[in-house]
Amino acid sequence: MIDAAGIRRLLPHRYPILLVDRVTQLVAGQRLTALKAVTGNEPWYAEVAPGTDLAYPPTLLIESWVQAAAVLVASSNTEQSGVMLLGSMSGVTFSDPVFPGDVVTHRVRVFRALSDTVIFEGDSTVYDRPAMTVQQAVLAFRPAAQIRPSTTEELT
Amino acid sequence: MAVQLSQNRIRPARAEVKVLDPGERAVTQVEIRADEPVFAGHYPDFPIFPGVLLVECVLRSAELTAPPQVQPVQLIAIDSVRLLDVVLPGDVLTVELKWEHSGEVLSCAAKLSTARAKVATVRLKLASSGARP
Repeated sequence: MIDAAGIRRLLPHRYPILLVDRVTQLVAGQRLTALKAVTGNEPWYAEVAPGTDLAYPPTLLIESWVQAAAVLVASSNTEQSGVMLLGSMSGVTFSDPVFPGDVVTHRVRVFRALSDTVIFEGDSTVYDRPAMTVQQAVLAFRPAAQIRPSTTEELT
Repeated sequence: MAVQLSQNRIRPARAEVKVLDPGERAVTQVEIRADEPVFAGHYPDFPIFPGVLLVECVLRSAELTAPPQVQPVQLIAIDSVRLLDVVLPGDVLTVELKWEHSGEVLSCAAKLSTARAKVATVRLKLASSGARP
């Protein structure tokens, strides 16, 4: 299990775009199950006109799932600090919309791991209701020096 | 099930999509401003516009440039996304969309670029919602 504090140690993402709350199951290098609680208190729900469709934006559901994939890699890659960048995705389909109050369960599986690239697949559900399926997502690892020059300055 | 791309939905980015050229080969433009809320957390001290929000720009562009006879549209699937280069605060995105239809199914192939580089390609599968607003 990885709690919110643990996720913050593994991912550089922060408010308002840290979209994974907890990891409930983890098999290193293979798969994980993670949770994201959706709330109407996220900033994109501010200043919403009456009658607006309040479904959680599908692109943020994707981002949340991708961050869960990044946690899967980061949790077993402790030697190097860096970020997993999304390179590509294919076959993303959506089922039932997600709303504030839903807790989304992401399942992420490693399909294949290459030297600095990992190919994932998986899905997202709300309790037993399907929300999203990801046929394939490719994440590439980039060392910290390339991403956060200010961090490397602090270390020297 | 499909995602209704009505104009009346939650938007994760403030950036507004401007239609420069409607039609089967449409062009839109999106200014990525430095005060975009997501930059605070993506990432602290190193703002990079999230790749999924490039997809959001394409969804919004699709809403606005879908042929009038099929509007409003619903998203069936994101067939593919390829992220090629970073997008930074201050960049102006140009989105070129190519619309095709085969029976009930609409497809939209988008190429996104900034002044510096081609930054992404996105292919969407859509359908008409049928309902008139």
